[in-house]
Amino acid sequence: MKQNKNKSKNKISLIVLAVISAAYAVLYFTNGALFQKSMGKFLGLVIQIAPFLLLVFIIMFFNFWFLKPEMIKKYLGEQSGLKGYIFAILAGIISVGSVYMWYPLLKELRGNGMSGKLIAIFIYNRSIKLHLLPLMILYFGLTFTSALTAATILFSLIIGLIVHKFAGEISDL
Amino acid sequence: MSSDTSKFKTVLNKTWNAFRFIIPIILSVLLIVAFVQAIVPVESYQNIFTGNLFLDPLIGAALGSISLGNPIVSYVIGDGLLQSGVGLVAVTAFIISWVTVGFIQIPAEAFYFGKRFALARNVTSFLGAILIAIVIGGLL
Repeated sequence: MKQNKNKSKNKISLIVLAVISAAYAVLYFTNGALFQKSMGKFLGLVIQIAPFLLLVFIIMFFNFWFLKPEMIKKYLGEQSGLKGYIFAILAGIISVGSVYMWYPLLKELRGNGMSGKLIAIFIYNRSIKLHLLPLMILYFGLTFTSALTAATILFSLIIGLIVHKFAGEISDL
Repeated sequence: MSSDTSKFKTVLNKTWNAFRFIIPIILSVLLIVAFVQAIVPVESYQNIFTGNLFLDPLIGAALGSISLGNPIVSYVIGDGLLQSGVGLVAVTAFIISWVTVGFIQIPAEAFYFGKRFALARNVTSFLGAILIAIVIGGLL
C-alpha cells in the first residue's frame, strides 16, 4: 500500500518535472535570451547544491545503517519530551544544504516515529546557519545576530505547537 | 559474503530508493527558482520598499518568502537595503523569511508532509518573520 503510494507520488513528481521542462522548451522558442539566462542560473544552482545532495545521501545512508525506529521514538517521538525539542533544535541548526533535500530523510524519520511537531521545529531551526554566523555578524553586528538566533530558537517552539494544532499529525506519509 | 557486506548493499539500496524520489522534485524547484531569478533580478528589490513602517516588513517578508538561494545573498541584499535607507524591521523580515518560508517549495513540502502541514508551517513562518522583525527592530 505504502509502496503504491510512493510510486504514485514519484509519478506525480515526474509529471511536474515534465510540465516545467515543456515550459522551458516553449521559452526556448519564444524568448531565447530569457531561456539562456534561466538555464545559466539553473546550472549555477545545481552546481551549488550538488555537494550538499551528496552529504544528504551519506547522512541518509548512516541513518538507515545505525538508527533504529526505537531510537527515533525515544529521542524524537511523541513521548520524547524536552529531550525531543532539544534534539530537533540542535539537528536543525547543524544540518546543511537546501531544506527540500532533507524532506526524504525527515519522511523516513517520520515513518519511524518522529513527531510532526518536531519536524516543524527542525525545519524552522534550519534557518540558523552555524557556518554563516560569522558572516552575519560581519554584516549586521553581534547584537543583532545573537538576538535573531535566540528569537529563531524560541519561535521554532511556537511554530511546532501551531503546526501541530492546525495540521495535527502528518497522516499521509 | 560477510554479513557486513550484505548489510552495506541492502542499506545502500534502501538509501538510493528513498533518495531517487527527491531528484525530480529538486530539479523542478530549481527550474522554477532559476526562472524567477532570471525575470526578477535581486537588485530590483530596493525599489519595492515604500518607507512605510507597517507595509515595509510585509513587503520584506513577502520578498524573502519567494526568494531562494544561499542565505549569504540575503545578507548582501539586506546590507545593501540598509545602506540605501530601508528600515531594520523590513530587512530583518526579509532575511528571516528568506530562510524560513518557501512559498515556491510548498508543493515539494506538501508532497512529503501533506498540504495542511506545508500551509500551516509556511503561513506561520511568514507571520513569525514579521513578528520577530518587529520585536528585534523595536529592541535594537
